[in-house]
Amino acid sequence: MNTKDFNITEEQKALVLARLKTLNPESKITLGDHEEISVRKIIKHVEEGDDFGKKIVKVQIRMLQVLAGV
Amino acid sequence: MVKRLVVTRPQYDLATHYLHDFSKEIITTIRSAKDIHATNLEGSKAVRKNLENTLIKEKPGLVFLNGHGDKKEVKGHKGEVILDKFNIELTKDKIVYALSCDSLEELGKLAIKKGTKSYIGYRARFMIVRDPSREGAPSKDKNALPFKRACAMMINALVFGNTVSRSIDLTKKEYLHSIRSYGTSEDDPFGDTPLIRLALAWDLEFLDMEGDPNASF
Repeated sequence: MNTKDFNITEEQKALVLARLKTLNPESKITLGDHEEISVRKIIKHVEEGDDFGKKIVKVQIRMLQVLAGV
Repeated sequence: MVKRLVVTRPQYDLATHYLHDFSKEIITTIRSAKDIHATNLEGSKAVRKNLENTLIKEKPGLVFLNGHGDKKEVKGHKGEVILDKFNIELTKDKIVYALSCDSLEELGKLAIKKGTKSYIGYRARFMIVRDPSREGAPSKDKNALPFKRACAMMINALVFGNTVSRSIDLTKKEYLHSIRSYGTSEDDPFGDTPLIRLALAWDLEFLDMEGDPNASF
């Protein structure tokens, strides 16, 4: 997914941040290359709007669409 | 006619222990199939020399790589680079499934230019969510189970003759099923469901292929 191909609205970003902030900030996702990333760091990426953060927003929105049956 | 595949299964750190476990079932399944032969490059055998020798001598139709990776390479035992631009031509006329981070982005594209039929992989880092209390036993880690099921779906679909396109579709459906269904109190005692769903949605998004979608093993 190329993050240049989509625009993230402020509403989407706010929604994803609100959901992420309900999680334990120390919970972690394992990335393949020996690295773990905490919810706290994921939130920081989203807030800063970097490439990883934009991808997180996009993926979370898609996930919500799946759960909503859209 | 016996169909041949080669599987690399390093097992030297936490991530590769999980991937090693993910591929255990398919090895068992293939052992009971008379018309399929798997060369299992496991643990310290998952090195460049062994992969190259197997590709040259056995000419497997399917190459299943498990391990660390980046945009330019896939790694084996203790991080040894086992597939990169210098030997990618050895996968000519083969289907490659790389369960590793990022490699589809550049190595996958290069592979197709060099004659690989299809290259399946991830366009970003592969995510899983672990239960830290189960690190010593990935097979008992319930958090990892939906990721394992999706990975198993892909290799099973490929091994039993589905096209690359169909195998990806089946795997994406498995990811979708897990996103929708995961999260009862029984399978999520620690409240990890939202994070697991996020990681599943990430892997769903970035699983993709280069090359011929109609290729089959």
